[in-house]
Amino acid sequence: MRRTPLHFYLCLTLFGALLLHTDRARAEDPEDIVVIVHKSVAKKEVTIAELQDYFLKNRLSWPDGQKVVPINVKEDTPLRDAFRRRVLGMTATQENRYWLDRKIQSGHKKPPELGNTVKAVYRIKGAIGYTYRKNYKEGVVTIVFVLPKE
Amino acid sequence: MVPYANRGTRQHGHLSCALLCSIAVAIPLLAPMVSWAQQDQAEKDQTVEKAAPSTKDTIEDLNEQYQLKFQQFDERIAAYDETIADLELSMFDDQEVDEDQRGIDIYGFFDVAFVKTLAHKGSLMEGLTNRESTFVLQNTNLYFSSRMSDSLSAITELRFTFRPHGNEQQFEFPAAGLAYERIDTEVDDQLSNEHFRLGGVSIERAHLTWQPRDYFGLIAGYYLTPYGIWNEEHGSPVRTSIRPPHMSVARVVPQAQLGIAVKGRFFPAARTYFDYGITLSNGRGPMDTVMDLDENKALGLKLKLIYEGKKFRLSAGGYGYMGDYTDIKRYVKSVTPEFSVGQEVTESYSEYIGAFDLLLEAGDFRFQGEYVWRLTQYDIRVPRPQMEGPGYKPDYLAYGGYGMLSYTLPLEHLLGEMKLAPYVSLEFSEQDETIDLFSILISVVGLNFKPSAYVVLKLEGTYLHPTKNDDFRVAFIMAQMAVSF
Repeated sequence: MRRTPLHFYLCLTLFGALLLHTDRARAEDPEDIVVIVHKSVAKKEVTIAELQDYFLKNRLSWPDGQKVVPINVKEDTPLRDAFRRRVLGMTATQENRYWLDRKIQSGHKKPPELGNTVKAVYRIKGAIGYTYRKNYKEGVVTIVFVLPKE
Repeated sequence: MVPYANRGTRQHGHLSCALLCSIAVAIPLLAPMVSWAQQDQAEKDQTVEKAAPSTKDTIEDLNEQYQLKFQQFDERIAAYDETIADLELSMFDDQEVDEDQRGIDIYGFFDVAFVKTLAHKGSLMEGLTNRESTFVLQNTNLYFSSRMSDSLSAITELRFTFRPHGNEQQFEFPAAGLAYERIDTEVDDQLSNEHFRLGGVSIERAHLTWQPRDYFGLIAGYYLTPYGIWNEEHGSPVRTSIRPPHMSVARVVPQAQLGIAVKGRFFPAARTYFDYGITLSNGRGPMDTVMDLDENKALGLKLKLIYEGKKFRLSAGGYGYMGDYTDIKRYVKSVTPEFSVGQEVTESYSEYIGAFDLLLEAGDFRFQGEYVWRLTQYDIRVPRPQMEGPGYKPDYLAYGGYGMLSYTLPLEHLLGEMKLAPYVSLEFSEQDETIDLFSILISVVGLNFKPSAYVVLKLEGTYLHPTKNDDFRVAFIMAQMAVSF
């Protein structure tokens, strides 16, 4: 009978380790940043490029025509910093410059900043915001994107 | 007689015998008692064993009941949490967002510059320009914007200026009997005797925007012509350099138009935008911001493709425009038998304009370039200004373009968030191909420094070199502080 080669077991082990790692990476963490939208928004998932469009007001309406209302959390919070850095690819100064320029060019102003984005997104049609997973309330708003905890 | 010691031993032996005898008697007597005790314990054990299953069941039942209770409590707590959350949500006042989004917003920018002009001694430009260095308040622009609904917004931009105070109207020319004239707007308050200078207000734009969809929006009012980069960047805090391109100064393309426009954006791919705009306006005229003097409305079309990657940005666009310029005069035609007034067209031409722009950002490099072209064809010609030569104005071509390259120095370790970017620019401009005087080359070297989000400092050297007339060579050294607020 032919013996199973050693490298087969090695590959199997590595594959198992990879699966475990993937499974671990997928595990939900209360510190994950979840992007949430109002229940009226038909879109069920968005890409990071679309998130940039919505939060930088390059895209003003949802595919169904409803107005996009981006909502930021308050300035100088770890959540705001993380979202700005990881999604918009900006620092606070760069974001400020961006909005000052946009206001001069086209009159667009930066999104409102609120303490509880879940409440705001729940209440405002077409709203999109973000929060930590631990603050997310199922059934109140819809998750469309997850930024895993770093 | 037995000695005491022996007597004790003998007594001890008697005691031992007595004890053994007692035990021997006691054992048979106690044995049944032990047996009874054992029997009693066994009976008790049997009783407990008989009772144990029912107690265990009871405990398990109680445990189950408690578990059920706990579960019910958990459910009730969760329900209370939900209720509290609902109450919080119902108490949330979205007025905050409404006010933030829908209230009137007032903001703006201004810039202060320091200018030194360097012209060749004895040249025409030395006489035309200010020889002394000077501070200048160039722009003080104030915006009022409001979002009335999700799709409806309005913006007004006003530019405040000290002008027309100081505007030179006429040079002294005794041979022609002309005196030097300069506008002086100084007035005094008769009550307080305070003197002050009146300034001016220029409406940069004032329009309503209705944007129900990304791909469709309607603008009505006085809006910036949607062409190029310089005109759309608009404000000095946004622009890289100080001095506007000559093609912009020469107004080869109208900077703003009064009328309506349709605009929109499509998303052909991720991070890619396709913008369009259609403009319908009074077009250009001697008083186009007040009224149009012909029926031919100007028509324009803008197309622009933009890609915005993380480290790479590219946009390429074009704007085409065609419109008529008409000037008239009104005159009294007759007084008798009826008073009548007539009007006559004194100047009329059609213009066809093409404008192209390219913006490329790669890492810390940025290149922007624009090219504009205009053909003017006269229907009713006017005499040429004296400096342009004799005769009437011919049809002519105007064109110009520039390319500007800037590089943001990688000095994060020294400057942190502050940005320092040197730039160079080369421009050519042919304002009217039939006149040699208007053909110029302009070279610019500058430094753009952004110490904060709100302030931009610029230092710039400009050399203006007419290609066909050296007498018009002039250089400027300028510094500018542009502030957003």
